[in-house]
Amino acid sequence: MRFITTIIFFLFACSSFAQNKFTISGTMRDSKTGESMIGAVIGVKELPGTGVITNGYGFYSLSLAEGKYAFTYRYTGYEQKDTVIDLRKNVVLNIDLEEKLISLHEVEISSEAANKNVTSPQMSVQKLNVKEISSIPVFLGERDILKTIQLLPGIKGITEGNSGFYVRGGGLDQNLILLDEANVYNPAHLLGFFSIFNSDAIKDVTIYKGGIPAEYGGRISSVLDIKMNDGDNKKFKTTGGIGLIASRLTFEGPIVKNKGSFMVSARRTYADLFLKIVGPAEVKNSQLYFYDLNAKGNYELGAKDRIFLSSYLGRDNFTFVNNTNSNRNFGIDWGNTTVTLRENHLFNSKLFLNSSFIYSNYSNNITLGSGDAQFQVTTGIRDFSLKEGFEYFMNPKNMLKFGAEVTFHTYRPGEVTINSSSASIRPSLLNRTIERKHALENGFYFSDEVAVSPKINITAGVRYSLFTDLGAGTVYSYDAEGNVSDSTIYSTNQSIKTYSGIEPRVTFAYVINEKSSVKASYNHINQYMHLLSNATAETPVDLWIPSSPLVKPQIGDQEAIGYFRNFKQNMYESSVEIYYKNMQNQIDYKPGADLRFNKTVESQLLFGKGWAYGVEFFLKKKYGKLNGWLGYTYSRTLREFDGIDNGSSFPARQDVIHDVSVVGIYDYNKKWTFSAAWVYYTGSAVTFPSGKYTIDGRVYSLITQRNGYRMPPYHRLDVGVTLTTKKTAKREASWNFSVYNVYARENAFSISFEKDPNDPTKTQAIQLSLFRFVPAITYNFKF
Amino acid sequence: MIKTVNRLIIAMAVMITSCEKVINIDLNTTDPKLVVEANITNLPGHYTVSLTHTVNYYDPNVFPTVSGASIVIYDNAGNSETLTEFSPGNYRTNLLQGVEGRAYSVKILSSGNEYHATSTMPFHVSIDSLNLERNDRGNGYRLICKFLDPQGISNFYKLQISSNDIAAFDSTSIRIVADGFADGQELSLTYRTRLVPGDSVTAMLECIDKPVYDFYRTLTNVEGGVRSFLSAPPSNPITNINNGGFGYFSAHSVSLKTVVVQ
Repeated sequence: MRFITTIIFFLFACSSFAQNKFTISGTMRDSKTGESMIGAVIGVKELPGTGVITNGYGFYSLSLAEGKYAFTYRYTGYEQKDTVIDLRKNVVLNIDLEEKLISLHEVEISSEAANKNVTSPQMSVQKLNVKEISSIPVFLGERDILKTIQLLPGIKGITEGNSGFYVRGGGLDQNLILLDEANVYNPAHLLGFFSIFNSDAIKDVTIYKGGIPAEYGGRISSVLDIKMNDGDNKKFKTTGGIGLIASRLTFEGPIVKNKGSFMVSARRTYADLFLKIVGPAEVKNSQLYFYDLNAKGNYELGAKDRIFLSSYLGRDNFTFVNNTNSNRNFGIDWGNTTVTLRENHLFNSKLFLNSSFIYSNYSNNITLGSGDAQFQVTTGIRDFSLKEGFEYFMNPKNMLKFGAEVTFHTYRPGEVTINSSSASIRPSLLNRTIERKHALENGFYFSDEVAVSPKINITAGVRYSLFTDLGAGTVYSYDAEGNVSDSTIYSTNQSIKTYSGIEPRVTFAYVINEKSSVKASYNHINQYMHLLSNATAETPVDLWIPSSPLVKPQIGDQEAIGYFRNFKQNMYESSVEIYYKNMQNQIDYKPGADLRFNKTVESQLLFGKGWAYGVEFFLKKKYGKLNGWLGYTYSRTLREFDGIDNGSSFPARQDVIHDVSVVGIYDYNKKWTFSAAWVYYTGSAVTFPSGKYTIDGRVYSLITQRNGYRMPPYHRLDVGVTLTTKKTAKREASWNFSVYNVYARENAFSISFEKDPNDPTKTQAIQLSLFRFVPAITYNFKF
Repeated sequence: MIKTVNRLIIAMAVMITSCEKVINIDLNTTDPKLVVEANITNLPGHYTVSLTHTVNYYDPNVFPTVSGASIVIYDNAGNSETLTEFSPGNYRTNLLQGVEGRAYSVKILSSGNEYHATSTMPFHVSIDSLNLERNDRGNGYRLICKFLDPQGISNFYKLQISSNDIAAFDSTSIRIVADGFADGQELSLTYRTRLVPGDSVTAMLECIDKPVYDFYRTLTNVEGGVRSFLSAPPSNPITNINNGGFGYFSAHSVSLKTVVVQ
């Protein structure tokens, strides 16, 4: 409560200066494509330290006292634009910046606004421009933003080649992954070897590891906010790439020149072609592929309104066709569908509103048999959301955000369908359908980014979250042994259980000088949705469940402090951050837990707590022929559950203690770009047997401690070369060669303990390594 | 062109092919712990209890027997018997008769530690039929065992198949089943066999209680080896032996059926 009064105090403190003020506002765009610029910087030469950045739609607004000012407009990789404006009335000034032709990373003349990373109160954040990271070497030549963010301190992937990521000790389900505001429930293709995000369709990626702003809610560890390209609103353009495993094609262009544009992007793998060539005869008709389709359109309805419609559709399909017995056919397919309809509205030069209607659906189907004797199990989750988000550029000292969102969730824990004329399948299978669950999730937020003094910047915000389980449904209670002891039946839309929480979010920066600052942040977040998965990677059958009378919301509290320092006129950015995170109501599983298609799945869960702490070092060289970064993290992540190891604490699987990453990109000349990335991390915590015993004449492993052992240390070097064969204003063509794991390190993907084939009375440990020295070649083009 | 692409894809696949090797993992040593295998049934005795110790993981598969323990089995009807050790680590009853529906307890005193377990003997369910069918390829038989699950109560079964030649069955010759989704229905279990005419096969259907079912269900978790990817962290099976003991005490009812291959 005290902190709400503090906000009100700031509002009053700052509004008292508001005399003879005028506003300059507008939208910043790429001059060639009309693509709006997110996070571009607007500075005022006469007022060092006064600056704003464009919002998620390229909009900016700055209110200043009457006078003549020199404004600078900047965006990485683009020519800076300076404009002198005599501000005697409200001015609308849309700015188009030109892309630098020579090189993305050439030395830039610094301006005061380039140190936004130092002066802004936001900490624990990383913003990646997809163009900037395009030359980092990647697995099989497929650019993958989820694998690229794993190269940043505090963000870890713990299995070989996997896109699943853990942020500051949080679990896979604690990341809020948004694609054009739509929640993505399973970002993995092919068991996580690829993510669903096709880089060609993506403009901007921002990840918050801490100090999570109030406009985001529902996940306690991180927010990954991904925005799709709007499409070129000046001319038609085709971009594409042909790789070893997949090909991509994007088509974009104006709907009405300078008024609206569209973008359609597709990607498909051809692993199944490979199957047809070399696979055994029985599997020749089998299928194994995934595809992604991104589409987006936007249109300006007038100076004050703009609408966007964006959609993503992606699916993995494995079908194993048995040529001799079609009853043995087996298929699994899964994927996400999202649709986001948005409208930007400007009430006036200071008040911006974005309204969104969002649909998101994740589903997984397992199909057995074929034709008449086919039966299918479907699991998944479906959301409908409405969001209203206001941004009020009150004055140069206050930037307010407030809004509300409501989401209706439908959970599908397991629905059985049987092909009608089938008599050979027992009808009792139909009884295995598990009823759907429903919930309503609400969020209301308010935040103010306040420049208290030239030295002190604060963002203070609060979110109120409210979650209600709705009927129809049956709620079970369980005895100590996990047997159903009671059940209550609720009718449609009857409220079963409501949880709510007030979530303060505060970040604070003390600017020591224009080169350095100290920041601190605190956030408190409630998470009402939980992913049931006891695998080390995302699998398509992982199940999202709502909080319920038994399953309490996860609660995350994170405190972080950091020191930020830029060198050489902001050519180098560096930071040290220390964090502590406390996680309540964490979920683990009873021995032999049965999580699939189980209507009493809640009885399989254990509840406990977790905590994580660490220190992250980061040094980034932003410009110059050689650029890249260096990151090191020391961190620990521990958990404690009454039902595991008698309640003593144990390391979480993602408890990776040391984590080093080095990324370098060298622009040799206009034609050649070289890149390399090296990673090293401590092996993740794992459970191995310490002893063995015999039951009924067979041998079983004896486990003494959860995650008491470590996988061997992991390290790997990737290198890449990009050869640009053509680059003109109209056409571009380049070849990308890369090698994953150049020195063929045999990293452990899994370790199994098996009988020694030479001596059945003994057991031995077998290490499986997946990818050693994997070369790839990709051809990219644009015309 | 297409051919070149195909060759490239094949070359790629060869290069990314995984590699397996034996590695040396330094595993902790463990103090020996007591492992109990104890049974009582509705058939006439003797009923046996076997005691062994756990060993370190890299030791040979030789499990030391535990002698000199004092073991008592008693029921909730006032019957009790102290077992005698008839061979090292193996103990048996001489007089006690198991009765369906009764709750049984075992108390073990070994090396100064006391272990205790209870188990309730469910009522038996008879095997309705045990049939052999030639399989599609004609090189073996399918063995089909059918029985009717009693309605209205939770039943847990352990079905064990044995023959004059144990090797005729694959590793699934012991199966455990719960009636969770098939209450009151006929259950049918099929086994693939490589039997030859003249062989005889016996099906033993045990009705076990839930703790014993949970023990066998969670035992598969740690069978043979453990894997570290795409699977839950391995954990020890849920046991009904208290005080840090491993293994099980099972009071179960048995029904048998035998068939001879024609």
